[in-house]
Amino acid sequence: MTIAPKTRNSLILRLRNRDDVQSWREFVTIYQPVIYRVAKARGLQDADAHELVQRVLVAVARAVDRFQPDKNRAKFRTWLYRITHNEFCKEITSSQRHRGTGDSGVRAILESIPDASDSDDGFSTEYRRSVFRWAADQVRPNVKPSTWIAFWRTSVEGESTDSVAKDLGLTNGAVYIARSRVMARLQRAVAKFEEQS
Amino acid sequence: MKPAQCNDRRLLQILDDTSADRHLDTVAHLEDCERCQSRLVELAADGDSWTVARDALRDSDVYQNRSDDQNLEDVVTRSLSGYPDNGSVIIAVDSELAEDIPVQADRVSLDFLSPASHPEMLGRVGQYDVERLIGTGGMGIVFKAFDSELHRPVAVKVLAPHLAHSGGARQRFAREAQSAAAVVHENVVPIHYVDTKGDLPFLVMQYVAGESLQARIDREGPLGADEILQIGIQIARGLSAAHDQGLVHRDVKPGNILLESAINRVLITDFGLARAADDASVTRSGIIAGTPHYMSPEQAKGLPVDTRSDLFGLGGVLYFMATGRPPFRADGAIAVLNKICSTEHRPVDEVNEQIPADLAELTDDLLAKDPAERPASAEAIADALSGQLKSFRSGRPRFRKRRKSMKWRLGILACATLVLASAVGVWLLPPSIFPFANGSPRNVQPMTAGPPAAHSDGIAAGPIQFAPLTNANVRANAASNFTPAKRPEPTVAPPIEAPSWNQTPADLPFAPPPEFVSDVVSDPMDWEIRRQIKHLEVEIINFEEKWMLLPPVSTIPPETDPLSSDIDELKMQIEILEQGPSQTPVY
Repeated sequence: MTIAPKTRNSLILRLRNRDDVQSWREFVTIYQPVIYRVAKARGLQDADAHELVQRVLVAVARAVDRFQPDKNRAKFRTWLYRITHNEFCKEITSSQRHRGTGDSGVRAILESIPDASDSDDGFSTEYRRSVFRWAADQVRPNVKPSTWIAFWRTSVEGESTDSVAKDLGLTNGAVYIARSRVMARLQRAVAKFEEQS
Repeated sequence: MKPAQCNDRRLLQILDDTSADRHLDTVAHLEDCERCQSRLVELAADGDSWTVARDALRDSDVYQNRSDDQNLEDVVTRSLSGYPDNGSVIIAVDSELAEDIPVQADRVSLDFLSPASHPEMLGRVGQYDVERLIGTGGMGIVFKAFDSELHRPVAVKVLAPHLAHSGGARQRFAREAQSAAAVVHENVVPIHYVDTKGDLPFLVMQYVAGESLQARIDREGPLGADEILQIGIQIARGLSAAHDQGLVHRDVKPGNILLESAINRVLITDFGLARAADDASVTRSGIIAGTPHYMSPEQAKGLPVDTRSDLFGLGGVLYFMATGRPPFRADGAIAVLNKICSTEHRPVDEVNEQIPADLAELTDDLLAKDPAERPASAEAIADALSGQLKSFRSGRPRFRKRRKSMKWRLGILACATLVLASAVGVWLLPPSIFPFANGSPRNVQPMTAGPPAAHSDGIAAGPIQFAPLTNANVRANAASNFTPAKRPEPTVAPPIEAPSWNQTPADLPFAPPPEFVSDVVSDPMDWEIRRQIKHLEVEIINFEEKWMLLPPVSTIPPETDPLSSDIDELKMQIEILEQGPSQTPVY
C-alpha cells in the first residue's frame, strides 16, 4: 500500500507497511515501555517482562493487517491491551510449567489476573507517561539547556523556583516562563502524537 | 518601566511566542505577581498533565536511554560550574539562540529610555528608537534600534547596571569604546556613537544582519578548509587594523565574530570592551566573568597582555572552526584556565583529518603558550592564510601524517567486539526466547542507546531492539549495500547518545570514532573492520530469515498443567469472541 506523505494516517495503519521504519520505531518507542511496565506491575520478573514485550510486539506485527479502525470498535490501545493481556496469561501458564508449582498456586495467580474487560490495569496511565517521555525527547534538543534544567528541577524534581533561579542565574519570572514554555511544548508534542495515532 | 497589568492574553503570548524579549513588561510583571506566576503554569497545562509529566519523567526506565539522564546531569554540572558556552557573549545580531528565556533582562531597567515614538517600539534613547532586545550577556544588553535621523538600523549596547555603577568600568567603557570607534576597517563592526553621560553608558554600532560564528558552527558543525581560511584572513585583517592603533581586543572568540548573512563579510565586534568587563566583574564576585575558553595563558595568569594575546585567541577561533570545539575544555572556568596554562591542545588535524598541514601548523603556532613563540603579527597571519588559501585552491594541499590516538583504535575495537558478541549471542540462542535478533541492520550501533546488548557470556539479553522483519524486507536489507555508518532516522531515537561534536568530552574513552559516523574512510584497517561487520550482518540476516520460517512460537502447544491450560484456553476463547473476528490476532 502506498500512503501519500502529506496525509499522515493513524499509526496503526502506517504499521501495516513493514518498510515504514519510522512508524515502527515510533510505535516501539511508545509502547514497549508501556507493555514492560504493565507486565512488571503484574509481578513478572524483569526477564519475563522483556520476553512478554517481545511476544506482544511479534503478535502485533502478525495481526496488524487484520486490525480495522472503526469508530464503533475498539481503539488501537484497547486492542493492544488485549494482546498484552493474552500474552500475559500465556506467559504465566508456561512459566508455571517450569516452576512446577502445584495446582492451587496456579489457580491463585490466575485469579489475581484482572479481568481484561473491566479495567485496563494501568495501561492507559503508562501509555500517557510513555508519550510524555517521548515528547520530552522531542522537545529537549530544541530548548536551551538552562531552560530545560529550569523545567526539570522545578517540575520534575519539585525544587523551589527560588533556588533554581539562583543556581541558574535567572530571575524567578524567567524560571516560571521556562518551565511553562517547556510544558506547553510538551503538551503540543503530545497532542500531535495523539492526532496521528 | 511600568509594571503590566495581569493579563492572560499576554501570558499566552509568552507561552507561545518564541521571543519573550518582546514582552519585557509582562516578564517584569511576572517577577512579583504570584497570581500570574501560577496562572502561567495553569495555562501551560492542567494539573493532571503536570502530574503525569512529573511521574513520567522522574521515573527512569530500562527502556529510557540512560545516557539521557547522564547527559542532563552533565549539563547541570556544567551550568553550575560556570561552563555555559555563551556566558559572556553579547551578540549584536539576530541570534537563533536569543529566542529563549530573557536572561537577566529585567535586571536592566529600561528607565533610561524615553517614551517611544511608535507603539511597537520599546522606547527611545537619543535619536534611536529601540525596537527590541537582541542579546544579553555579562556586559550588558543589546537592542536593535532605528536611527531616526539617518534612517538606518543600528545596534545599541547598554552597559549592565552592575558595571555602570563602577566608576572605573564606566571610564574604561568610554575610553575603549572611543578607541574602538577609531578603528575603521571593513572587518571591524563600526561604532557610530558613544554616550557616557546618562545613568547607563551606551554605544551605538552598525547593526549586522547575520549570526555569530559560534551560532553558525553550533548549527552547522565544523567548516571546510576553504571557508576557515577565508574567515581567518578577514579576522586577522580586522585584528591587524586594531593592533596598528595599539588596541588589543582581549576577547577574541567565536561569539564575537559576526558573519554578515548577505555577503561573505566577517566582522569583529566588542573591541576592547572585555577590559571594561574584566575589572568590574572580578571585583564584584571574585571570579572571572564569562567563558575563558579562548583566553590566552598570559591573560589567565593575570600577566600583562599585548596584541599577541589576540593572536592566541585567533588560534582558538581557527581551532573552533576546524573542529567545532575550543582547544581547551574542562568542567568549570578554573579547570579550563588551568588547562590553557599547562596542557597542550590536541592538534587540529588529529581531530579533523581534512585540515591541511599548513593550517594545522599555523594554529599550533598561534596557540603557543609563550607569546614570543607566536607569529609576529596579525598582518603576517593574514598573509600566511592568504597564501594557504591560494595553494589550497590551486593544488593538492599537504596533509600531516596521521597520528591516530590509541583511544580511537580502542573505540573501533570495542564496537567490533560488541557486534561480534551480539552475533554470537544470536546464534547460540534458542529462537523461542529470542524472537528478534537485535542485529537487524539498522540497529547495529553498538554505541547507541539502550541496555547492554550482550552480556559477558555472549548471550544477548535485555530488551531487544525490535524492528519489524518480514521476509520481504529482510531480503531487501540483505540485498542492499549495507554501510554501518548509515544512521537511523533521528526523530524518534534522539541523538543524545551520540552527542554533538561540540559537546563530546575530548577524553571520552570510547567515543565512537568519527569514521563510524561519517562516511570518510581512509584507513585500510577501518575497511577491514567494516568488512567483518558487514559479514556478520549478513549472518544475522540469514539467521533471522531462517527463524521467520519457523512456526510461530505460540502455536507450539505448551505442556502445561492440564487444569491451568484449560482455564487459560477458556479465557482466551472468551476474549477472542469478545473481540470479534476483525481485530483478533490469530495465534
